[in-house]
Amino acid sequence: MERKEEIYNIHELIDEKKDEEILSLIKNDEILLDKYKSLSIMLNDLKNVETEKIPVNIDKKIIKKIKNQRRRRKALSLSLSFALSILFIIILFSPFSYKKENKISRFISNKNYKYTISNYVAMNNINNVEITLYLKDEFVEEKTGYLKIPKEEFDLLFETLNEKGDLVINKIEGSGEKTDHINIKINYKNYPKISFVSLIGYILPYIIIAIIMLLPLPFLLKRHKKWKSY
Amino acid sequence: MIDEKSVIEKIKKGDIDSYSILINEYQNNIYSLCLSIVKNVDDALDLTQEAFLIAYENIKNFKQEAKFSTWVYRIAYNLCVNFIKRKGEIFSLEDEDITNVEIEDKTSSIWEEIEKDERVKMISEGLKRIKDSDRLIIELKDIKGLTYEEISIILSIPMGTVKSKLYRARENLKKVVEDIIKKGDFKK
Repeated sequence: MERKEEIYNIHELIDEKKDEEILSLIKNDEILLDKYKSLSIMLNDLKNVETEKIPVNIDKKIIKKIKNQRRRRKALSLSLSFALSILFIIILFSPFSYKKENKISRFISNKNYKYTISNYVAMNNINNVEITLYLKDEFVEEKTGYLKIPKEEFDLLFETLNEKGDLVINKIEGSGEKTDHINIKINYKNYPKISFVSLIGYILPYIIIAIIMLLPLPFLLKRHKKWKSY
Repeated sequence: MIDEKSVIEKIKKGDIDSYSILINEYQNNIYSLCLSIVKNVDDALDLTQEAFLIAYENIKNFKQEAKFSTWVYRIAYNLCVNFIKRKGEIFSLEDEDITNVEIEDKTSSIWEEIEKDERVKMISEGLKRIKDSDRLIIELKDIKGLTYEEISIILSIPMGTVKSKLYRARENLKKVVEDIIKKGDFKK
C-alpha cells in the first residue's frame, strides 16, 4: 500500500473510531504513528474552534415575514377569486357577443289560415322576434316576443333562420286574399367571421382573459425550478 | 435537544410560532456556513433568513427522511453558491487527486509542544488561510460534527468525494498550521 493511501486510511479510520485497525496500521511505522498523533491533536482541537455566531437573532424577523406573506397571499387569493367571479359573470352574460339585426320578408299564400299555438319552430340563440302582418299592403297586426308557427308552413323562413336562432311565433291569421305579406324582424346573437371589428369586439377580450390567467405561469415555473434545485 | 419531528408536525399543522424553535436551534450553523462561502456579514445574514423562509414555504414537502438541519443546510448552500455565481465569482468543490498531498517529516512534536488554547487559536487562524471549499468541508465535518452522508447531501457530491476532499482539506490545514507554528506567523 502506498504511503499516501495509508495516510488516507488513517483519516478514515479516525472518523470511524476504529482504534484497533489504526493500531495495526501504524504499528512499527514511525511516520504513520507521527501522522496519527498530529492529526488526532488537530482534530481534537478543531472541536474547540468556535465558528462565527449570528450577530442578531432572526427568528422574530422571519416569523413576522412569514405572517406578512400569509396575509398578502390571503388578500391576493381573495382578490383573485373575486376577479375570477366577475370574469365568470361577464362570460356568463356574454358581453362580447356580436349583435345583428336582420329583416326577412316572405309571402304566405293561405287563405284564412290559423296557426295554432301548439306548433312551433325552435332555433338557437334568437333574442327577439318581431312580426308585422300586412294584408294587401294594409297593416293589420304587429306582434313582438315569442310567437309560434307550424314548421311546415314556414319552411323557407325556417331555412333562413335555422342557422341563426330560435324562432317562435304564436299565431298568424291569413286574410281572404291569395297572398299576404309578413315582415319578420329578428335580433339574434351571431358568431361573426374573423375581421378587425370582430377581433376587437369578440376575440380580443378572450385573448386578454387568457393572458391574465396565464400570467402567473412563468412565476410558478420559476418557483418550481428554484425549488427543484434544493 | 429539541423534538424535531413533533415541532415540524406542529408547523405543518399551521403553528407558525413553533418555527422559531427550529430557527433558534440552527441559525448559528446556517449563518456560519453562509459566511464561510459569501464572506460578508450582511449577505450571510440575508441568505440565512432566505434559507429559513424557503424551508418554511416548503416544509409541507419535507418528508423527514433527513434531518431538518441537513435540509436547511442544503438550501442555504445552494442559495450561497447561486449568490456567488451572480456576483461573477466561483465557489468550486472540484475533486482533487489525493496523491497531490505532500508527506511531511515528523511533525507531531510541533503540535505537542504548544498549549491547547494556543493551538486552537492557531487552527482558527489556519482556517482563515486555507481555500474556502477546504474550510467549508472541515467546518461541516470536524467542527459541526456532520456525517459524511449529511455532507454529501448538503454539497450534492458523492460520499467518496467528500472523504477525499476532507482528507485533502485536513492535510492542507495541518500544513498551514504547522507553518504558522514554525514561523511564529501569528498575531495573538
